[in-house]
Amino acid sequence: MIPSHNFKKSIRSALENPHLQNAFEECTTRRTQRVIDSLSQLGDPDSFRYLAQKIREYSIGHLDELLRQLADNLESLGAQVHWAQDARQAREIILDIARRHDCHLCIKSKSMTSEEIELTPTLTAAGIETVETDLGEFILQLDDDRPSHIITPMIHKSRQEVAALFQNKLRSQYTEEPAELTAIARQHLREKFRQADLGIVGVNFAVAQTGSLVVVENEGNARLTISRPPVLIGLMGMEKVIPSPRDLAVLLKLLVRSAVGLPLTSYTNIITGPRKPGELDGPQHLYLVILDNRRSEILAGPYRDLLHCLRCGACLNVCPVYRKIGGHAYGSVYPGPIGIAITPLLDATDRQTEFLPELCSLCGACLDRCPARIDLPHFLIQHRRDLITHRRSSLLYKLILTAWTWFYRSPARYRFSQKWLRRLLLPLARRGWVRHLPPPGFHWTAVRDLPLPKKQLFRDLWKKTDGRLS
Amino acid sequence: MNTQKEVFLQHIRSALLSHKTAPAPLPTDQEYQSARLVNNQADLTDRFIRLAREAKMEVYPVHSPAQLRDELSLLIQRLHLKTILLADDPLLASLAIQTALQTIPHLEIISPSIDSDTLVSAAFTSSAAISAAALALAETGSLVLTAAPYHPRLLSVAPPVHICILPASRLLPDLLDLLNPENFATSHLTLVSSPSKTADIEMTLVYGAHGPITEHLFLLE
Repeated sequence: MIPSHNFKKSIRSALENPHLQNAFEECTTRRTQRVIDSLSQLGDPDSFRYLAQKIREYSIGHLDELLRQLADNLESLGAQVHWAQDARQAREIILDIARRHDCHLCIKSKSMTSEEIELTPTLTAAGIETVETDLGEFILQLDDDRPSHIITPMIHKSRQEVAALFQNKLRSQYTEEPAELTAIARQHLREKFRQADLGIVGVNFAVAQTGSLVVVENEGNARLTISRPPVLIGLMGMEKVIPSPRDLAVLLKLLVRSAVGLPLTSYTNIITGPRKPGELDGPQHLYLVILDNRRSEILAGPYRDLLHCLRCGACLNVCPVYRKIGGHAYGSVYPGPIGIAITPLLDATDRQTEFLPELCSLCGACLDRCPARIDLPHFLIQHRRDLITHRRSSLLYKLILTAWTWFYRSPARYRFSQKWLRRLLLPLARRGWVRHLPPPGFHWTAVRDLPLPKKQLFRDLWKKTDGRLS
Repeated sequence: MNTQKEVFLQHIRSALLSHKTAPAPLPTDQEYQSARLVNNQADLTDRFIRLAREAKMEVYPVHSPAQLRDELSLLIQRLHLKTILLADDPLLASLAIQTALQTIPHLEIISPSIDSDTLVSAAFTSSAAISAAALALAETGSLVLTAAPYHPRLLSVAPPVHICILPASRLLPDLLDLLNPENFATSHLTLVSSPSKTADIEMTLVYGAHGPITEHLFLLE
């Protein structure tokens, strides 16, 4: 369908911004090369991907048992588990915990799930100062901005913007040097770490067999978040559970390489229960909030395999659409291939999201890179089919597609359609491309060019040369 | 509370039942083992040192406790460290680290195991900390730090310099050797694979985001 005006506007502004184009290109190209290099250390990365797919299939197929086992183990370790049906419940649970412990300063380490439930405004409104501690997220929070990538949240910001922001908001000396900017943020946040009485951390994996929560990171902010505050809340979508430690071993080997092109991140944290008697730090009170938020609906339907995703972000870096428009243009919490597949399912109230599956050229690069071998193109086609068959597309659009289908289903009709299409479009074409169609087709050419059908069809060429190239 | 849990799990149960096909089984033991990248026969020390150095950890191989004490003292003086948090680790005690440090002029040595408040203020103000690694991983060149009464979590993450002592006998080959239920008995385990780092600003790599700016490792063979 036709993207709404808003989409077009945000996509166009991304395309017209040379800094953004540079940053996306730089980030995704460099990262992709590093990912390829580090995957080659696995010998046969595909055998790892099959293994990872098996583990994820099993985990999702036994989700109820594994979550029960996880919760039982966490409770026997002295932690408390909360079950949130939707975003509102999750916010209430977390706010309630914060109030019960009389918390005033909350340090947060990167969590896409907390973005999904829009947690920070709730805490702030309740008078709890809430500070993002991942450097990228901290800068975005200072600037009242949103993440544009699952792993590197602020690739859209330039060093000059950060420099001006720090000078303005932190009253620091103006500098554009990333090392100095990082040092300024470090200094500012150390006091927050020191005084925080509540920590909130996104959970990357939960190990059912041992009741462990796993948090991977590079900066040390998650380590400080799970070490310092006396109250710690882990937040996770219900799909993050895996059976046992050895599953973690296999998935870490593959996922970290796929995400950042390294064998492991700087820190891999494994939390198994609150602090033990005699220990001087670590959380005295440990909570885990498990979020459904429509995931059980996804589980019941044809999109179930999307729950295998562990948010490594690899599909973003290889997606030709993401690489051009960046994360913000999507207008959703999760951008890129996984974002356009999962957002219409997580957030069915917002009509904007149903167009997201159109932001894809079905090139299949994401499928080749996904560590869990999720067939994203398949699900994006499924979304488009849903859109046409049961809802919300105009009669005219349906009519055009039905006619198209009819023509393309028989060789004779196909040949006929190509011949006539060429004759019809020839007056509109310049150098083999149609750039502007008259109504009702003008929406279509507003965002893309239409290739003129060739005089000689591929099938005729094939017949003539018997499949040879020349 | 409990009903919330049951309702939540019931939703999942019925969602799973709406699918006709049974879920695939977990990989076999043999398949898990196929994910092994390093075996017991490999030269673990060499691999560990190479990978740790690639990740910007300073590695100093030493061959005796006496050499360790000497080189440690030199490092502390070279870095002009003023205050050091020293973990009350049995290994460090057996290596007589504290005795060696006491001979360094103008160096304040702090024991972290006094009480919570002292620990927090010392961790955020000391110039360095010394601890022992519980284990280490040759596959990735990573240290394994575990929480214990004598090894608080903050000790190895808050000060800007972390110095770690690792006996070579504690090296494990592969993640599959480390990640098993027995090793998850500790309340907190961290694999440290490099100094703290970030590349959030224009993809420029910077060390020392929130954790240690430098990691120094004495590998005692």
